[in-house]
Amino acid sequence: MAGESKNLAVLLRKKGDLEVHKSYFTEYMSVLSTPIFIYTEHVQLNWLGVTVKVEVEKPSPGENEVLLAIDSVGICGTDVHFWTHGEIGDFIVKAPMILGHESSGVVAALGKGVSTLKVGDRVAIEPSVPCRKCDYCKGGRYNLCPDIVCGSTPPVHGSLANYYCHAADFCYKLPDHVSFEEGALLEPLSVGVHACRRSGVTLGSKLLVCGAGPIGLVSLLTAKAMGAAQVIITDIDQGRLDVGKQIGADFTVLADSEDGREMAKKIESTLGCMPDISIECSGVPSSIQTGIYATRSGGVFALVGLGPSDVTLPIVNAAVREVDIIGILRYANCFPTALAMIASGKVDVKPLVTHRFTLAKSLDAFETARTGAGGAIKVMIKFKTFRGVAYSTDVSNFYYDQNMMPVGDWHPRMEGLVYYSSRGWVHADWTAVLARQLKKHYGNITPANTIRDLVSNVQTGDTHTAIYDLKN
Amino acid sequence: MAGESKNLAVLLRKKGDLEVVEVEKPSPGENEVLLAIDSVGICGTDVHFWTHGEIGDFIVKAPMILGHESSGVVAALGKGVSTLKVGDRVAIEPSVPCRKCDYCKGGRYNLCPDIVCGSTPPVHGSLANYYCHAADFCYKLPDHVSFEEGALLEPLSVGVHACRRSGVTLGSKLLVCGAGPIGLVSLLTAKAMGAAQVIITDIDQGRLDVGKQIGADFTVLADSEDGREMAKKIESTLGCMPDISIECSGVPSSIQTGIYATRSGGVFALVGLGPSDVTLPIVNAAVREVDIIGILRYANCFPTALAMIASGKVDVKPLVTHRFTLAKSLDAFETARTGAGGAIKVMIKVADK
Repeated sequence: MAGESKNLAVLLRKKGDLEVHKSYFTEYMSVLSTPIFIYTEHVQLNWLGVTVKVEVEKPSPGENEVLLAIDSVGICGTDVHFWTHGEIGDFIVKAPMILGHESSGVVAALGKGVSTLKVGDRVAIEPSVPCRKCDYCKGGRYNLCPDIVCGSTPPVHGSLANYYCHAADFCYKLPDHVSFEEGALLEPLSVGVHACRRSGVTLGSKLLVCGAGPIGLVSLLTAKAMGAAQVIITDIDQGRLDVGKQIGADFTVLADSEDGREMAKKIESTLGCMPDISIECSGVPSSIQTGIYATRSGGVFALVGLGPSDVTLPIVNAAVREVDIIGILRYANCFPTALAMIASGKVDVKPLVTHRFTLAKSLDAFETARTGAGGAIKVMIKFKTFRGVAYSTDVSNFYYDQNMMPVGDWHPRMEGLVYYSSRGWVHADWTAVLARQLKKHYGNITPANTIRDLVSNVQTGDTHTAIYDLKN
Repeated sequence: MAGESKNLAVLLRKKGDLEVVEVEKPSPGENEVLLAIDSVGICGTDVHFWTHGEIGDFIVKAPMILGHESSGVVAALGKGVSTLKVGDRVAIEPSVPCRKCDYCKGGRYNLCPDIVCGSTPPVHGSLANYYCHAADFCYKLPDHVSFEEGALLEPLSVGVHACRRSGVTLGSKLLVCGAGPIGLVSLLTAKAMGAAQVIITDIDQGRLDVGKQIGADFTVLADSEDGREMAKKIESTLGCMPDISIECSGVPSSIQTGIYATRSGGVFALVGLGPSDVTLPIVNAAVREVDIIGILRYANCFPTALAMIASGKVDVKPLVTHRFTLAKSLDAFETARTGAGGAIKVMIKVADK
């Protein structure tokens, strides 16, 4: 019963060859290699006296997975690098791969065994799913699991698509006041959390952040949230330094020299002391050297940025001053913290999103991310302008009578549009809630409006819930 | 209270120019003790100052007495000393910090910017008949601990500091790169801490044999400069990747080997000092979260090292392979420099005639 779907995805066929591709669900594999079959069927909606046939998709994600209707995806430097270079280290693009791993969306369907989420939940995705069985996983350092499956690292597909399946326990439910964009930013923010944790940032810390791109900026935000006393940030671009200053950096230094010792002196004199901790976010060799020279003896130099495989380092300087050099690989047990930071209002990541593109304009989005044109920091790809979820919390009235006739408008007690049918006053589960939302969104709705005019792409997971796109 | 006896010392006048000469006998200052030195071990850094005249920023600009791995007898007390008495047999912790800065107050006194280190220019060392030192940096030796064992507390403390900072514990699987004195004391300390298995590498089979003899579970001859290749050999010999690596040679290919060899999430500790700038597989280390930590001497390690020796848990005596009198110091340094005759730790018996 597999049918043609509306799943569009940003597909990297090979280095330099990026395309917005219409993938058929029969081709599309989830991260756990479970094929998704989409059934289409027609359901009738009666509303305001009009019977409408709506094509509804009923996907089936794998066990313990959920199917997500993706809303927002941020472009990461690694996505851009796979596009321009076709490889990062040992990971080589050998087959077409969907990009994207900084994503959020809505749960569209539940796989077998999923009880922690329900259809309609708005979630952010932690894109890398470990094996759960090895010593690393059991010990809590699952980011080091040798069998970890990472979306948008070859050969595993990413989430820059309308639909995407993911392990349910690696999807985090977003509170209503946290936007999809903030949800998509949880992924880079979690890298900042992991970096600050591993490097021991705490109350009173004096911190150097090398590089004011998205990772440097989330490290700055996290450090401040953790109570760092002062943060000094460097970058080669003054515009990015200005953003850093705006979101909380105490000092900024333009990285205008490749001489590590010279830059370190400049940092020390600007900050007034040597920083306890340095978080290097650019991967550029001269910046790594600077960070090592700059760090106070007995301090920590954390390397997040990835650059050339082999770098000449002032290793004796680091060793005899006991400046520990620690690497940061993604995150482990950081998403809940990142979400709490955003949800509490303690951290505001919204200034990081500078550019937005629709899915159709993905190539422009990637080009902007690649060049950094227009002061681009985080470029976001938006799948829909409006996305709504209608769900019924009232499980008592399920009558769905094809012969319903509209008799009234809003009935406050029954919280929805109600109809009189041969069975008395009823309101159809999600259709009534849908109607209420449409009324709220569009204002007055006349009997002349049909659902088809107002919404498209209605998907139901069950009788309680529907996800729809508002046409604007 | 000028002594009747002369004070002979091993003086490095300048690079390449080492001589046993008579020097002024010192008097202990406040909180210091005067020591009649008994035994002094020769360290690689002493040899390096002799052959190169410098290590990093430390340059021999004026004549300097060498030696910092020493033990002796308290000969006189300076003002205010109450923790020791004349006749006490002690080992010396040669580097004395300021005690006032944040590092000192925080317990990481090895990082004190004003630390005064014997036998690091311009500070005189203890290879002399008489030497003064801060009383609280002299550790009283139990009767059954020899002066030689006392002199070995200094390198053993480096091993303690390395094993502590790298997190060696019960069950650890450890790689030690280099089977010289520092590699061997790291091996001994790791085993004492409960490490399950230790694999040790060196370019010299004789040193590997000593390592095997004193407790290494496996040895691997470092016959390749290819870090990845050596790492594979280590993994297949040990049966797994080690959790922790302690690098004691400072040789770049050995550092690279240690990084490649260490299990993800593990620790690579660098004790050995070599070239200032080394090309490292930094992405490999970073994406596997192999932390690279440096080891600078020791802090609060001497009491532990002494307890290890005094309890009999650790036997450092096999490390002393050669002994020379003070008069034969040049021969001693030459032996230490070349490693001739399977030399590991060369001891100068200062008190012997």
